[in-house]
Amino acid sequence: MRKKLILIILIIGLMSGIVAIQAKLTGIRGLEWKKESITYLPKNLLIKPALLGFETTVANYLWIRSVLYFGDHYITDQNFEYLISMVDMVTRLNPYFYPAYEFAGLMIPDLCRNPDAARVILERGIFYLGEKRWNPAFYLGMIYYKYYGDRKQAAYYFALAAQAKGAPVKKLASLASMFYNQIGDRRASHSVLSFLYETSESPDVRKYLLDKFVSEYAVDKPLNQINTDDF
Amino acid sequence: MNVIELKNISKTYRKGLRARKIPAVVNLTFSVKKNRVTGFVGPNGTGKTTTIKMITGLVRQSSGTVKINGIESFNPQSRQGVSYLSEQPCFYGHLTVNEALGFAANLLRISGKRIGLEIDRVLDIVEMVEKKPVKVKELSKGMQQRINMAQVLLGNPHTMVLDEPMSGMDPPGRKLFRSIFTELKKQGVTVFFSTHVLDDIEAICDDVIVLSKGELVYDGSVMDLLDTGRLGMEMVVFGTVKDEMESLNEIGCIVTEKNNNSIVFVPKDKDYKLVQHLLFSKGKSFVSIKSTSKSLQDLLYHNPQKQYVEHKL
Amino acid sequence: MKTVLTIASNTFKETVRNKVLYNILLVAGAALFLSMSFGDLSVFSRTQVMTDFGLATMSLTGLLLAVFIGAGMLGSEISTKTVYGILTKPVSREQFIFGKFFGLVTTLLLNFALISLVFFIAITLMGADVKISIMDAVVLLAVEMSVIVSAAIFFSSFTTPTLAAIFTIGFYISGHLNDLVDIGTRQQESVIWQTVLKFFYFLLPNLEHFNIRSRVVYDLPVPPDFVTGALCYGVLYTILLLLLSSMVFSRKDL
Repeated sequence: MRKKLILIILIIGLMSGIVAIQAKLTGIRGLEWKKESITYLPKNLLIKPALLGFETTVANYLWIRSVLYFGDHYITDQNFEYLISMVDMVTRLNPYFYPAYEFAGLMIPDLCRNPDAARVILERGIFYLGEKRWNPAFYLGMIYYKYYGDRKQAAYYFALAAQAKGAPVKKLASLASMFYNQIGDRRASHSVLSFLYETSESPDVRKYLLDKFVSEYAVDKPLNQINTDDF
Repeated sequence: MNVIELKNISKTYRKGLRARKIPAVVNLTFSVKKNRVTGFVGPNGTGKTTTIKMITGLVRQSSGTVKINGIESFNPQSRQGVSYLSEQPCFYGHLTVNEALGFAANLLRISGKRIGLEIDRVLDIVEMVEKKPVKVKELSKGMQQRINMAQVLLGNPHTMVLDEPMSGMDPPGRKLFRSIFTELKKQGVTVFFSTHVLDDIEAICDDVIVLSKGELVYDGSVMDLLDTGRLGMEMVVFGTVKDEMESLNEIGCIVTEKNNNSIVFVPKDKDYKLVQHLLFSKGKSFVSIKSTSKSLQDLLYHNPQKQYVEHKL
Repeated sequence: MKTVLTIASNTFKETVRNKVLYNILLVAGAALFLSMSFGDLSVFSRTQVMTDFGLATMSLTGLLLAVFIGAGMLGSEISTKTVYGILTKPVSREQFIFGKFFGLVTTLLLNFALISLVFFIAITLMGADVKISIMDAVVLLAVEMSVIVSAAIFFSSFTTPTLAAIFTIGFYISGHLNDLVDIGTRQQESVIWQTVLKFFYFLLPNLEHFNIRSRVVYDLPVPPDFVTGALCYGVLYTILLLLLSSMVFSRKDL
């Protein structure tokens, strides 16, 4: 009887510990990991949970199939009927798989003649990898410029790309500024240059941005007296 | 003093989708006395193995109590100094004889240094020393049963519970086991074993417990049981007893002639000394005088219920 | 304790000779080396693809080992009656269960370590570093496998080996789908349904807590207290399942 009681108390204790740790782990995963909101993913995306934690593995396999599919059709009929859905599924299953976004940005708009599909995939890439990779935003900017003729959106995405880690800030800032100037939005151009100046930690980049600003917008002050308020 | 005590034990199994209740043992009460060899008999399917499993804690009784040395059988402490031999040898296939006995010795908490000596001792008793490095699964059934007996002897248990220990044994093996039991009896070990071989009961056991259809029909000494089957005295007399026939018939004797001799049977309720005196006074000489009784087989398996209503405790 | 170690040692010797074990290891080793070619086929992110395939192979190997060896263990002991030789000695059913678990898990962890070694060699050959985070992922996979083994033992304590294997696979699937229950809880408007779903969420195991593969492969941050928490979660759940197994097994007629 005593042994049974000890056993029951032990089981209750264990279950309490399990519930407490489970709640804590769920909290950590909920805050830091589950970036995607329920509304972002389509509700009928049941395939991801059905893969029981192996979605990245299946994504890798699908990616390999996509590469082989692309290669096959590139040297034969140049018909890439299923390429978009394959690359799209790869990024849905593994949103951190960067090469798929590169591929979407470079190949899909031109070879598949479908900039809309590339746009959707790249927006996903920006959502997941926007802080670490500048390329998805840059490609999206180029798509807007080349296929939609929308310089404003293009400038917006170039500016966004410039904020990513390791981005070529000078070139992207120049592009963004140039595109804003071309559409007559000097205010937006000012904002981009000033924002990038404030957020950049590189002295070289800051000097470049300052010089650019000065060259575009003449200011009656000596260089060494110009501060951020002048922007 | 009783080593094993069963009080009002019942075991019911539930079988099938409708969970039919099947009684295996019904209201069983008996005791196994200390330092005695007790046999446990009954027809097939009568609940012997189930009863033994309840004693060893393998099966939980539906009602009643089973105690070994006053401790409930389901408590592992009740099995201190108690060893069990299963009907079929139950060794891990990957182990050699030495490893299997070593494993059993470790479970009995025999100290590391003593294990080797203890294994040699028990293998010597069952005459299997040379099989030490052989895998148990490679041995014949009889040899495996000897190894089974060896593991039961490990640690010098004070009580042994054996389920058909002679099963699968050849005649030399049976003879060996009988001698082991006789020796254990001298050492004061309490032995409780089930068997179908009634010769073993007569030869070795002090007491016997008889089951029939899950119920107890006899619990007592073997001698008392055999006594109940005593029929009478049989005298073989040289020559004929025609002249004494009338007197013998009056007494109630039965006379037959065979090979120029006369066989005079005196039923147990008659005084055989009177007959002996009568024949002797007529100048008859005797070839033999012996007691006759029913065999244990006849006592147990021919109308056993009728036989033992009178002798039930 | 000595009794538990004796049973564990015997179980280890028994399972280490199991042919199924070597077949699964062979397949796992072959899959790991094949994954090197998968890395090449992907053109980009070779080491990431290869690392991910390797970790996935190890996860599946752990599941197969737990199901094929763990699920049938108690059942085979009862059918061959070897359990009689143990439980008729002064050995409790709890000691038996824990001894079998420790023996089995030692064998499986040893084999898991071998597969991990092959995996580390393979990714080193591909030019990737064996980071601490990858070791964390491997350790959590080992803990997950222990939880699945304890579940297999629990199921085998009251049912046949085939059913125990099916239940174990079901346990694995429900464990990885448990996040859906959590999502469902948040989407529910009814308080009653929320409570019911939350109850099931905490009742069923969440094996996704042991899955940090994608985060490790793509260099996403894993908080150190998460790994510790997941370890504790796995250990507690294992102990709970073993205690439940003991309780069920102690009522079982052999």
